[in-house]
Amino acid sequence: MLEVNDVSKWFGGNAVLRNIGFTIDKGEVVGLIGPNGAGKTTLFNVIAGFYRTKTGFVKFNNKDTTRLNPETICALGLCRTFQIAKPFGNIPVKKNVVIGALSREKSLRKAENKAEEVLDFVGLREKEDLLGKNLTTADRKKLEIARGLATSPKLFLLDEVMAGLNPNELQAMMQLIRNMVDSGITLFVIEHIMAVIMKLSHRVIVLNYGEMIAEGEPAEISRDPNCIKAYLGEEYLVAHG
Amino acid sequence: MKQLIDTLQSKQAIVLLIVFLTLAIAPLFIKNDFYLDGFILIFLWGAFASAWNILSGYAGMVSLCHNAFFGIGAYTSTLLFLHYGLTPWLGMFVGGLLAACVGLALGVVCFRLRSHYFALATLAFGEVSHIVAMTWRSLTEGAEGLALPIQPSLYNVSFSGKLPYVYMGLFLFLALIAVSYAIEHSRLGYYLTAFRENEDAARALGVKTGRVRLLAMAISSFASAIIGTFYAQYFVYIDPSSVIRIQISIQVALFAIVGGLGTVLGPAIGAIIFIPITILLRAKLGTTLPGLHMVIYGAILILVLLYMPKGIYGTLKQRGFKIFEKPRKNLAPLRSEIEVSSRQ
Amino acid sequence: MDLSLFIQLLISGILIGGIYALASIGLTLIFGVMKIVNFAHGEFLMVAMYVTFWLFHYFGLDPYLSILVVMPLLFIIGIVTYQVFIRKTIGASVLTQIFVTLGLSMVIQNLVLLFWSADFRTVSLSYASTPIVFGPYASLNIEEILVNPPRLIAFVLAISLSLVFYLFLKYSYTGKVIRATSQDRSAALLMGINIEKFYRLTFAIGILLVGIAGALMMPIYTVHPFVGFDFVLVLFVVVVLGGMGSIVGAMIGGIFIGIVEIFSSFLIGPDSKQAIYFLVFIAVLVIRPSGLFGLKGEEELEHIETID
Repeated sequence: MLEVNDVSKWFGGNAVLRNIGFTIDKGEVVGLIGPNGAGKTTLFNVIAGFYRTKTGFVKFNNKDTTRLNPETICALGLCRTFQIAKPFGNIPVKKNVVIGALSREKSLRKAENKAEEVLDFVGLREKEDLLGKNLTTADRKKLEIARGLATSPKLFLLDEVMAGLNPNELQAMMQLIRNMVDSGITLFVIEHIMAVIMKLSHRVIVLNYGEMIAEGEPAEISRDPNCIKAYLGEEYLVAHG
Repeated sequence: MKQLIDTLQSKQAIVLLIVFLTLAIAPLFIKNDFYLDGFILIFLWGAFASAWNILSGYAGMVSLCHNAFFGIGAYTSTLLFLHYGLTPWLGMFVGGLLAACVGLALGVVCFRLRSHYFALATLAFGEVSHIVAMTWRSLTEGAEGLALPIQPSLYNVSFSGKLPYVYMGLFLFLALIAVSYAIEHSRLGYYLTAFRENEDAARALGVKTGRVRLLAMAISSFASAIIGTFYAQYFVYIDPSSVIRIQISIQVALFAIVGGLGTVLGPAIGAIIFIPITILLRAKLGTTLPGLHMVIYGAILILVLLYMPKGIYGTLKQRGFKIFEKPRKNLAPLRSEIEVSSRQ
Repeated sequence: MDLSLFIQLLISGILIGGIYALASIGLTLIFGVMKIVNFAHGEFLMVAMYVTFWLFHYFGLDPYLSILVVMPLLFIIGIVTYQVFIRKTIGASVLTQIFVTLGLSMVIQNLVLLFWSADFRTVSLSYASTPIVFGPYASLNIEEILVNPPRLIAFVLAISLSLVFYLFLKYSYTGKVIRATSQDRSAALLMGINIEKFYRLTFAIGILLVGIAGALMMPIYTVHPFVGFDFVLVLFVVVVLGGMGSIVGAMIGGIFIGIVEIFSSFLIGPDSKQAIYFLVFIAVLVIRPSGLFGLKGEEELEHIETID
């Protein structure tokens, strides 16, 4: 479904991504992990069309999307959320979601119906009249997901949708992700919380300093010496300290 | 359509209808030219502020060059009439299209610019247009301006009484409100709002922000130019300082901001409030205290932005005074966070 | 154009540019640190010019000495303006920031008009009315070059003060904090810097700098309530050309625009000189909106997200 081949990205003289290549198949849940600054969000930005790369290519459903802009890529069925939630702050939650739904629906009325469905699905229906900026962190994350879901993505890139949630919220979010998988959406997920990512994903890709240092099933990854080094060196202490 | 009918059944819509009917019928009974002039100015500036609001209110792109579009409209129709005898009925559309083209060109040229930089670019463009109007004497007569002959006829869009202008103005005023309503309740309005609130997020959701912006630019500049023609026809005299000064852009922005940015009725309400104040101050103070009305304008602008950023209509709307929305069924009080999450 | 004339024009341009540089440093500083474009900047210039004028008019105070009054006065005005108006716009929408400062500009302009009328006022210095003559330099084939003393004095003072300020930013603790805040607001916040305090200070310093420029300009230009708006447009051009937020950029941009102004008003006519630098302005915005010395990408609203 998604094919990333030999993608590199420089900012100034720094290579933030180096020769990244992998594929994601339909129905998979793939985790993307790595310490801070590893290039995870940059990779998302490249896949979703926010950044251009000069090397390599990205193919979505066998269509080359390397040079396409985000709005076109979204129309093809690839949507992303933002690490720092970007709600449309001054308009109600429902209108936020309707905007996403309009990318598929012909009429406003249909888009509204779709938005209501999605809001029910993520559990934000009660708050549909609140302004985006008045939501809690957890609800903002849900809104990010709801808006994205409203565009009916085939592949959905989730960027740290669990960061900053309390245990209850975390449980709810994991359930939501499972529900998305059940409804047939392929997921590519950046996550910091290892327990979560290991539980959810079928496969995990590990980035470190812009390079892919490992790829495999969660169990393999947790035994991989490279990853342990990358994580124990920095992240392990942070996570457990 | 069904939505519109729903809307019209609400209580506030009746209030609105009464206001509009008053506006429509009152001029017939007013024999005093002074008041009629007031109506015309309210309609003119209300319509113009609505046009500005489409770009700057809904899409959030601060334009300080609407004076250029206004001036293009006024000059185009006037020049076409003076040189080729073309009726302003057509001339205004030529002006509108020209302004839209200029607006689009500006939009394309400035496509990379965001926020402050866009505003500065429009400021520069607004100033350049003023300088061009002042210095291109062979076309515009420079600071001397252009006068339209007073030969009342329908073809000339020139009338002896004020009443026809009142109704032309009212038509423009209502037309711009209708256009704003249509935009707010359409895909375009949703997309413009999304663009204003966060462009990256909008693009991630498939909003073609580039195209949407240009469309807003084109509509806004087209409408501004049409209103410019109306100005020229009513005042029968235009010069750079009356139709193409940068202060014009600031003034329409002021009306829209105070009335309510990004709302259907806000800009119109702004004009309804400000024009009478202006006329009164001018009549009372005359030339004794020059600039006082500008001090008051500036102070109101600052106060509204700092303490009532949604403007008058926006604030009313927030407090539940809704004209263009279906009355909502009362929602149950929000359940607490935990309940919501445990429900799943 | 012969060589003498060219040099004469070039010198005039550079001299004017020096003042533009000083006046626009405040604007670029405020933008760099607070991300606010101060549309009322020209009005502070105008106020400083009036203060200088009245001090001269009533007390016979020399305009260059009046700098000593203008500096603290404008600094205080800056603090008050920040506290009352600007503070509330930090983090607000761009539209709010633009129109609050525009509203401020309207109020100041017209208050001045109310109190001091629209009369044009000038200060002429008896000791500085005869031009200084350089040359002729027969060996270089250059005829006499005339320089107006007020312009020369203004230039020298403006450039030296700009340099002093630049060194202040570069080496003093306060200066370092201001620079740090302009580079990364949130990091500065994390370092325990009282952002609010430094915003206030930055704003006041910006106003103080434009105030000095106003005092220096008084012996050269006439002052009237709307003079600020004419100048602020030039300052915008300078700041955008140099790169919003860049002090060095503002200095070089100021001198460049000074030269452009003099040459275009000589070659094309004074009426259209404005058109020329506005075209420069639009060209810069279109081709390289970040200016000559600005950070690239600054002009594009919030950069997606930094690297992870």
